[in-house]
Amino acid sequence: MSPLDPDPRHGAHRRTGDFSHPLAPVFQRPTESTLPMHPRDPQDPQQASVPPPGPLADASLVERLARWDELPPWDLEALASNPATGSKLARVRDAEAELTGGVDALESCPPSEDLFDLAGGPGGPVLTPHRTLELRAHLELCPSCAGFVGSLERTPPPPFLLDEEAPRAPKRPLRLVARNVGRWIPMAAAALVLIGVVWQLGGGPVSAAWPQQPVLRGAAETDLLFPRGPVLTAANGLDWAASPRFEVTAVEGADQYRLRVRTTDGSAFGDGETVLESTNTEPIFLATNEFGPGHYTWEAWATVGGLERPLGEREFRVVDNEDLRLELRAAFGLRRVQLLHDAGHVTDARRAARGLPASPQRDAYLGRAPQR
Amino acid sequence: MSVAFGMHLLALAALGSAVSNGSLPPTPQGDHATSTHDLASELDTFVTLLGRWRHGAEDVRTQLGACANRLAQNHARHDVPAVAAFYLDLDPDARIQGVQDELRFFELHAQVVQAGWTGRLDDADWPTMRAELLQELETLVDEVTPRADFSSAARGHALIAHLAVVRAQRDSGLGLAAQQAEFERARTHARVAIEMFERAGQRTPQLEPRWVLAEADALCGQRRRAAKGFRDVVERARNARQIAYVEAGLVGLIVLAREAGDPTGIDRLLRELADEVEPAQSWALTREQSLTWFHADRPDAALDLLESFPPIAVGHLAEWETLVCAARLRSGDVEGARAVLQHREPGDDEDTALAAANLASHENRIDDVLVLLEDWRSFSDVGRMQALSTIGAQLLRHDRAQEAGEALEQALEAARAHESAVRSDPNAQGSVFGEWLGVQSLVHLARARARTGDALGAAAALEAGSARTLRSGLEPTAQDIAAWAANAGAGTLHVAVGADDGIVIHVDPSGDALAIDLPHGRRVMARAIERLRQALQSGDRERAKSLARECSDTLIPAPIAERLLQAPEEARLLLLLHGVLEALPVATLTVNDHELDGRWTPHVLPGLPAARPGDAMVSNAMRWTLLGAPVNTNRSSDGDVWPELPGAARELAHLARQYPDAVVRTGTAFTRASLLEALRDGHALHVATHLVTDVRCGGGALAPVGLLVSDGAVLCAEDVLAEAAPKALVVLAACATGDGTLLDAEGLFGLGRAFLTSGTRNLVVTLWPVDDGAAQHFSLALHRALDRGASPAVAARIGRAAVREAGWGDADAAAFRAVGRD
Repeated sequence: MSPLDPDPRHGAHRRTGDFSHPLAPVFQRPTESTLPMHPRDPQDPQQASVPPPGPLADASLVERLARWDELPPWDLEALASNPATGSKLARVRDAEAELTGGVDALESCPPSEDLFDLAGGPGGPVLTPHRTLELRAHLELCPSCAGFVGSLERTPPPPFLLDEEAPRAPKRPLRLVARNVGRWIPMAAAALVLIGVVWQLGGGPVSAAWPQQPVLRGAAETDLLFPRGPVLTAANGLDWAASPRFEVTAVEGADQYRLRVRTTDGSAFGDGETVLESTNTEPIFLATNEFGPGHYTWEAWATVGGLERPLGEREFRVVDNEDLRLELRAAFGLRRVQLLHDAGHVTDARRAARGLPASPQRDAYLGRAPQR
Repeated sequence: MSVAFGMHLLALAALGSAVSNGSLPPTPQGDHATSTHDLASELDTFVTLLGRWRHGAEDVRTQLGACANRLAQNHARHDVPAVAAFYLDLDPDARIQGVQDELRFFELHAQVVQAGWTGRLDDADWPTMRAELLQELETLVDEVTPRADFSSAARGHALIAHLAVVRAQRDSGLGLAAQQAEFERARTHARVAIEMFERAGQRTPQLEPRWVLAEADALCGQRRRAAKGFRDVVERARNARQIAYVEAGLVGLIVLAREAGDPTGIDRLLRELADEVEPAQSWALTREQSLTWFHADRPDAALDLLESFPPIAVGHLAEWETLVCAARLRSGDVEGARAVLQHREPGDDEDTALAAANLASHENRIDDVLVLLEDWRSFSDVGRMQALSTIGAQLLRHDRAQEAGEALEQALEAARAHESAVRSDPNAQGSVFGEWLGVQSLVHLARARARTGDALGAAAALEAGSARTLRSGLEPTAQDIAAWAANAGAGTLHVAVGADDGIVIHVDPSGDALAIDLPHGRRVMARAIERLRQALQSGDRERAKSLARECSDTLIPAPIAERLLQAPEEARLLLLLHGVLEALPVATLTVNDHELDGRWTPHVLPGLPAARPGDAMVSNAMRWTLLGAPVNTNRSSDGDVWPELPGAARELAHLARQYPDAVVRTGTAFTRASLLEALRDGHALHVATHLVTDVRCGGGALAPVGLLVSDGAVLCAEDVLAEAAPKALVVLAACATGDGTLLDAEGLFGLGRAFLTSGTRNLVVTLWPVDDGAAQHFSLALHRALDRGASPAVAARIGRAAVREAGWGDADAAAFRAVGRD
């Protein structure tokens, strides 16, 4: 269920405008003053039997939700039964269940903080390329860690829908009071749950959907699939430019493929210098060298019956795009794919899609050949 | 580059591998390598039994028959029982005589094979040796023919035929009459050999004389019959698992395709050959593939292949050296090229002379070039073309433009003669001018004329050699070019690039012409155009703009830009874009910061379809046939499911209202039959559907594409070529209808070209896949403009503007193009 589905019980939650529009207003950070508190009128005869307040009685709603497991039962029940807070509490609990479900640590697994940084969580330090490669290699072998990183990229349901006014995104990530984490969940990851749901930079909460292909009157036959067009510079180990992947159409009868990548000056007529050459028996090449900003041309050949058959040439360019980066900082999971795809960074969008859990929709997206 | 001269060496090498181990039946050594273990084992058994039988062992009769039957029943070797029956019918004396005759034959045969492998066929003493061999063969034939086992006589006939065809091809001292006599001799002996082998129940040995017949036909210019003969050899050889003759047959077909300038056919045949043999085993494959790389401007790939797979037979070395020399030269390794030719004398043969002349030309040694090629008149057709082109280029470089023009005119004449010979075969699909003469020679000729003050004649030279199939070889004159330019308010722009560089010529409406050299060759230009197309299609606007600017500055240099700016606003500009340039999206070009598409009204042709433009036929009173919006588009042939096109449906519904008397066929009524009917009527045609690639399509040079109709059927480009009546205007609102397979000097061969060739005067096509909604928008704007009396070029410009205004970028807008005269 979309966190933006208007709850008929809460007129205050309903927004004006198009909820799904990427430029929908962002949430304002919820404050106490906008939310009803638990009624505490000692004169109310119906509250005579209200138990005494717990240790978080004076805490803000945000803090109480974040530390829901420390609340006394009656407080928890009050939150749950209160129309204004019940759904939010439910969502926090769901989010925590998502994070904790099915995650088993391995003895050799890296610290969770490192995995969080690899996922590009806001506020975390940028990993060194060496450490990034180490962690990526571990993810290839450890489904648990891979699942965990993937879960960090999924958009958990936001617990806060405050009022009709669009809250502005905070300038810095929220830091919550540490809670008792008896389980293997890093604090930063828990913070991310709440950060991700209250902090929507530039896009607002949207119903993320897999990018659709336009309806064309035919399709181009192309053997060089990806990369193509603009590609973001490597900011972390998950970007295409940090872990380049070249994909060509499989050729019947081919027993070898050859790849050559040249860096060019970006002119129409320039030839360029070779920066990478490789052969493989499969139509996919994984390069280990990072591609920096610039223009590139790549070519591929398939060897069939001892003869090389050219598959063509294709351009791509590695670019810095600060605006897009800013949008991406708070976009996770499918939303990230959508943003990249809509910005024309289809190669990066595919890279992001590959990091998501397998699903028919994901597989359909990754299985689509470019139409032009 | 002469290529056919190595064929006989190949055939002799094939003969070598077809030599049996002396025991019958004549199953060549290569056969067992390609058989399964069981088949090989069974054949071994048969050969052993037959050998014993022929040597007098009576006790193997029953076993021999049984083995022959097993080979037929279990391994589909239905020829074996007939072979067994022939020998089982012979008495012991006849059998033993037969063995002796066979040994005698193979001694002679071995001498011929050895001569071929060791390259002695060009030795001075070969004619004497050949005469002696022929004498002995004829004696053998005379003696053995009346005997019960006459099979060696059949072999003798086959070998005599083979030697005759080789002599006819290689012996430059033979006069025309003597050559024809040798061909006739070859045919006669080959036919006798085939008849005798038939009587002996032997199929596999027929491969050699059948190949000889096909080769003789090819050398006599009977190309269609030769192609049929070579294909027959291939199929028979496959059935008999004779790889050597599969190779020989396919190489014969490849040589025919190459002579006809049919790169599509060559590519297809090379793949077929590569399925059978590998380069390490087949010099023919290596050679043909390297030649293909040459023609594709990839000398580096050709050199890599040649150096990786040198030939085994000594007789092939000379040819290998010639190709390596050329590849090194084109790759810039002059010293490496020179090293290859060091031990050869230019007077040795035509190829050496041409190779040495190329080297001299590269080093600008004009005197050496002229000396090396002074005997060009004695060269083959192709050799003459190449010699004269080299001479002309060198003269041009030395500012002897007048003489260069004369030499290049003669090269053109040689090309015309060769083209006539090739065009006698109605199946010929190639471009002699593109694949043999070369567009670079056309560029040089144009340049030579321009430098002698005849820029208009330069344009005529370019057009005379380009897209010849559009007008059945008719060559426009300078006056014709002027008439075309007068028909367009901004004149005509003629652009061509060869392997090394190009030329652009503007002819204004008054007939005044200006020619300017272009610095880039075909490969560089093709890459730039592809980069621009990719940027446009991916929606990378800034990149596309930058690339378009560069292309514009190169293809429309300042002096020509100035002339264009003299034309009135929105004047029509006819761009004659040749070769790789036809793919250029002209709607993105700029001229001194003016958008070409807007300041002028561009339309394009790959070449002139007629001597004169003729009268415009498009009017708002035209009758239309409107088809498209297919349904049930699951295609069982390849499993593709194509989406329905709501934009196309809306487009056609709207157009049906605009043209109340139009014939409309949409949805389930949009069938192959209704589309064929529409092709044949004289109406203007608008089709809105998918263009798809289909394995059932693809005839000759045309790309394997077609229009998708309802229920998944496809109407191919070749169907259009066969069925379409000439029309005033055809709008092909589907993806990439203006694209196709590139045939140099001819253009892009796809759906649009099929319509042009069938006489359609104007087309509106697309250069790449287009959005259904954008196509709808374009089409409606186009037809509104046509209804107001606009010409197709003007209407297309208006359509593109409408697409841009509606918010689609050049990823869609620039794809639409007007092709034609109006």
